Amino acid sequence: MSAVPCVLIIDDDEAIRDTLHDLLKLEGYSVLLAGDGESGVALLDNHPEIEIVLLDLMLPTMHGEEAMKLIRERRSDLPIVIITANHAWRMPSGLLPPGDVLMKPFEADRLLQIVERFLT
Amino acid sequence: MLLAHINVCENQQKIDLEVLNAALKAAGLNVELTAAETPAALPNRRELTLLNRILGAASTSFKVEDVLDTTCHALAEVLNVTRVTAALMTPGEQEFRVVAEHASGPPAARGIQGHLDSDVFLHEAPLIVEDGQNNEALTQLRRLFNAPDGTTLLVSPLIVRERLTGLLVLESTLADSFNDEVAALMTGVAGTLGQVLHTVSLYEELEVYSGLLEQAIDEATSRLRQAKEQVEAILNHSPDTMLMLELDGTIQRANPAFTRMFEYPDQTAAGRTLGLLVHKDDAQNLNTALEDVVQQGQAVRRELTACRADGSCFDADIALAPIQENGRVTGVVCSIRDISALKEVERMKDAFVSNVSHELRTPVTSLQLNQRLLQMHPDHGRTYLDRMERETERLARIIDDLLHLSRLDQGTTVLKASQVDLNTLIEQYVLDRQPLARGFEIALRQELGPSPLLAEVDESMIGQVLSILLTNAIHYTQEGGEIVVRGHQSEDAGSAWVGFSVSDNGPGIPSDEIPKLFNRFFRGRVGRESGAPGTGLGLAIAKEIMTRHQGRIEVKSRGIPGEGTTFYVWVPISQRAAKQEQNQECLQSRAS
Repeated sequence: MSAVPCVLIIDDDEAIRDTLHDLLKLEGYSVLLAGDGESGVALLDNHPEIEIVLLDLMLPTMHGEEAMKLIRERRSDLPIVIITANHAWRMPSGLLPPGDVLMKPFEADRLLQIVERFLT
Repeated sequence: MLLAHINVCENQQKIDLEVLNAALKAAGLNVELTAAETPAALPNRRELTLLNRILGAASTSFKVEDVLDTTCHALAEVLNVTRVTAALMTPGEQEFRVVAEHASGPPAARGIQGHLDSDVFLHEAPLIVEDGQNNEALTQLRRLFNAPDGTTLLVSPLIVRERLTGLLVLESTLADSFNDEVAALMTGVAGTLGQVLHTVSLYEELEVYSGLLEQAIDEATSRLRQAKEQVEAILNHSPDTMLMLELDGTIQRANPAFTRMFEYPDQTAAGRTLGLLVHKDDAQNLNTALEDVVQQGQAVRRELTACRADGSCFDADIALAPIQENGRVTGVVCSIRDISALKEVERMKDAFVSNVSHELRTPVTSLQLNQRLLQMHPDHGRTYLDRMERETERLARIIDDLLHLSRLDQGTTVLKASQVDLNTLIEQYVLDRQPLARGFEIALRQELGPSPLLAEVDESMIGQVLSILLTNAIHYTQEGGEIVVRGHQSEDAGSAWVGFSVSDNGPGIPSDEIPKLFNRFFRGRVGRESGAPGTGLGLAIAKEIMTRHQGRIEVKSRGIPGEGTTFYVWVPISQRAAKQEQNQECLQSRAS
């Protein structure tokens, strides 16, 4: 584990992506950003220091669930925090844990608590 | 079994008894004649002759009138009397009706009314009624049968099932015609006649009931045929497949919908197995359902994936119900409904709800997070406030678009149609969007159609369609690009159309995205990646507006960067303009 924990954010919404980046940076995390599942998985391959993934479900081309499977294939123990606005969504069996689900809208403190829980 | 003792001539005893019993049996009478045991009793040829004639009549005709007529004739002939009258009592009334008569004198009254003391025939024995007897009942009896003065009557009651049913009246002018021997003979004749009448009346009732039964069968058959035709009409015209199954799921019969739904050749349903009509993953589920129906005798339903002959599949609602006979399941009826359209609507609804949730909750999340950032890091306040402002505007746009679409869906948006020249509309909107286009360093120009392009439309709504297309074109065109708005007029399938097109030379739209382009919340990859503002509702709104105008919106793009995209919008030409055009053509042809 590196001195500064690294968080990978995969979200196609630029405003959310930038906001989460600013929030986590202010809390002292190292942050990597991806706008879709494919580039997120590619980042994961090249950055073994990533310790947690914040993953939006509604992604272009590759759905978040598909991205999650690819992440699990590579790092089965990597915590994944699913971010979704669909309150009816249910986790497919076998994908979590480790991880959690954040339903939009959520407060910053709730997000920070979850990230902190997995990184301590 | 009724046993009758008849005096018969000794020599003729055996032959006559055999003849009589055979005749009785043929007449359906449950009577057996036996010979008198005392040899001293002399046979009575007259009685045998009479009975033979009566039974002969009964065996050849089952009509009461015929039997009584034969009886009257036989009695008059054999006993040599003046008159023989047979009268029957009208059911339910104290009235006699003359049914047959053989007479040398005037006939008896055909309808004989009046009180008759039933005690007269208390012992069921014939009465000898002589003229001048001081007995009111007997005098009345003579009156009933118009007995002339000086005659003697022998009245025999006809008893059927212990009830007085009629009278057999012999009339003679000779005072000593009716002795005990004749009375005894008449007792036998009346008894046999009662039995014959009983049988004949039963036969008549049987005929009536047989007629009624035949009528009832005809009616029931007609009702069954009608019901069968109705059921067949329902089955033949039902859009749902209906199958008659054996207990193991083998198809016995199928209605025409089966052929249409599963696209099998005609008459090839029988012998197939139900399980083959569903996807292999669902076959076990369906077989279990069939077993439940057969074993528990209860109907079940399943939503499964059905497969056509060519292997293509569709969502199906399959209902199975038992056919029971005497509490035992003897077959299964199966109906299959294609619910793929319903499922598609459900999927679209779910996708829409999911999209709305995403599009509304995402900016709200962003607002909340940036508010927290503002508190944590006020030095960067400007960045967070700008972000919050953009998210607020985005939220407002989505809500406006959703409300607009909702009003279009519900039909609450009133179309304010007026005659609009689309060329004028193009000029207005191109002029209006010039500053925005210049800001992105994009050339925006117009090529107006043959003026005027008149259509009966809601100017504001069609203007909104043009606005959506122009805004999209500006957002998706690179710096230095060009957008051209053109006016058009065309003929299509005998109808005249006017419209406009918006062409850009941007990145274009990939062919796989074109079918989804007008779906609500759909945003193409280029749109999402370029960061161009948009809710994914603009083209859906434009399509709804064109549908309300009986118009159409089309897109042409090969998805090749630089070739760009062209959207076409068409509405029917104004009827007034169409007429003016026709008149103009007429004038020109006359002038030439």
